[in-house]
Amino acid sequence: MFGEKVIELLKESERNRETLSPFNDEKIRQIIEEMHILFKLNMNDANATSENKSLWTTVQVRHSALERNKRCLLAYLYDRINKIKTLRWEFGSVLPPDIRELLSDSEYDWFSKYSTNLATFMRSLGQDIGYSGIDLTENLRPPKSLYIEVLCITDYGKLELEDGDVVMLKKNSRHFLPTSECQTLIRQGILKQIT
Amino acid sequence: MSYLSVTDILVSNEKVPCKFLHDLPKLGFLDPSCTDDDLKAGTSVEIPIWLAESLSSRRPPLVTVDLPKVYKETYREIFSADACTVDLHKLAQYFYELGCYVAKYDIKGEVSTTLVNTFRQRFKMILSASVATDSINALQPLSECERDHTAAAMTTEKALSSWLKRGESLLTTATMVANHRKRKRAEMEML
Amino acid sequence: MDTEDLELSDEEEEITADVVLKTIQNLWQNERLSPEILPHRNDMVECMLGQIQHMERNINKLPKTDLRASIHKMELNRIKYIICNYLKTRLDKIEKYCITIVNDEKQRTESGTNYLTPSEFRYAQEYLLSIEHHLKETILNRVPGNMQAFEINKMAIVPALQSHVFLKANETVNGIVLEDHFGDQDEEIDLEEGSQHILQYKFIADLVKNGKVQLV
Repeated sequence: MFGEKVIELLKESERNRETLSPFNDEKIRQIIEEMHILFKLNMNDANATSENKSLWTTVQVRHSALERNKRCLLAYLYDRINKIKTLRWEFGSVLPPDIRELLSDSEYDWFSKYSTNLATFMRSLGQDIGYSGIDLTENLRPPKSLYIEVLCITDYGKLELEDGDVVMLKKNSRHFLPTSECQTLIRQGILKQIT
Repeated sequence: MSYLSVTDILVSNEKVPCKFLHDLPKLGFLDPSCTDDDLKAGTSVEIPIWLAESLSSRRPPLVTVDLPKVYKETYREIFSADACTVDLHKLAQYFYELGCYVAKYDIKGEVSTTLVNTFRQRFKMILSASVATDSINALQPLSECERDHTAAAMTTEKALSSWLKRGESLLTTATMVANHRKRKRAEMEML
Repeated sequence: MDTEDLELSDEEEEITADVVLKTIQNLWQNERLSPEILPHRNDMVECMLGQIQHMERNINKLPKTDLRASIHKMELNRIKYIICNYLKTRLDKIEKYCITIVNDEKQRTESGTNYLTPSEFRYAQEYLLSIEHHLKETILNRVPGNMQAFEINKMAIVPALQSHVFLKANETVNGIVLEDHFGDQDEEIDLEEGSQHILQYKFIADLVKNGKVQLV
């Protein structure tokens, strides 16, 4: 009740810094319940402090515990939000179903809002001069060369290039493509760059 | 110290020895050796620093905070003699961060000197760990924040040497995507 | 790169594309190396975007296999990368220091010294709202009554202005005061044009923003 359970949640986050674990709805529910118990105990004891002055210090201690639990729960959510943000930049605006499962409904709502907010922002870039916006998620790596050789890791289907050519991305096929048009697919693990 | 920082929360979970100055009814469970429901004034207990700070900052204070043994004389002498022989991960993985917290309870002001001197000595351990071929052994005795510094140094070192080679730096799958795939593969293998 | 002349609306000043690119590179470097968000230079960004548009049109006129097309395309990709990274660096700071930035920007709007573009400001506010909503829905609305407050000031993350940075003086600057918080030993130093130093950012923040100093 004094923060042990909620620390387990945070240690779980800390152990997996680079991945997202499933949203631990059950633990959160238990911790919130414990907070309500603490609160009730405090309500009772606060009424009784007229008879027993030292109960007041107990009330203060429990209040600290309540604040601690609140802080830890918020930190858990905030830490996950930072990882979920990365999902948008690495996977794109559509999440694979098994990643979607790791998010709570509220987190998925947040992800959609984040995606929309980002899209609105990107569209607004250069609109005063008639530019149709830039996709910031496309240009995440400094360009080294115009073209690169890639191996297709999974079946993807047709990819239409800027100049109109169409390439068929089948598993194990090799291609020589413009860097700028492969960046996202490489990041998503569909293509792999070979020297 | 950031409210939402997970590291800060874990650091403030570390325990420090305290003496309770008042009776605390119904809170006997804070002392694992206490059989009573109530906590009596004068009891010494180890409690997490977040609770210790909250209680000692009340007016009047409810506890006095004492320094953990790592920041006291015996260990201070060890650190000033040769800090590099200490396995900080085993002894006190949040040595520096917790030190910053307890420094304010140190009337003599020696904790801060110890922290700075210890880090100065161990700095070369961080540097060598960042380029070590046997990084697991090199990292082992380092505290949490020393490990973080080493990891950052390693990343920079790798980036610099691949840039110096002026080769084609390959574009790679994003970290989270790669980890997700690894996990999937592992799950499939288990089935 | 061909030298193109671009006109500024108010003063009939001509800025070459080279100058714009160099300016953007300096802005980008400063933004990447400074701990806080710097004043926006949307005028430069739009200038550059206009230049990119112009270049793209020219490249498309050339046959695909023309060597010049490849070289220009390479240059174009490079410029695009710099702009994107500049904007993304700003977004990262906006997200990280969201609460602090929104508060500061509200004050700066009143005096007309905005650091964010209108789009960025909208982004920041939307971002903050979405987080508030999520935290309330998942936790705050479910905990006991006296714990439900969204304590925005407690949750703010503040940039570490006391961190050290490497800098180069673009011009001679005299009389910079380095305050000593722990003692009384305030120091005053002069920066010679072209000299390089390591200092705590907070003492030279203004110099970065007015271009007298470049972070390196």
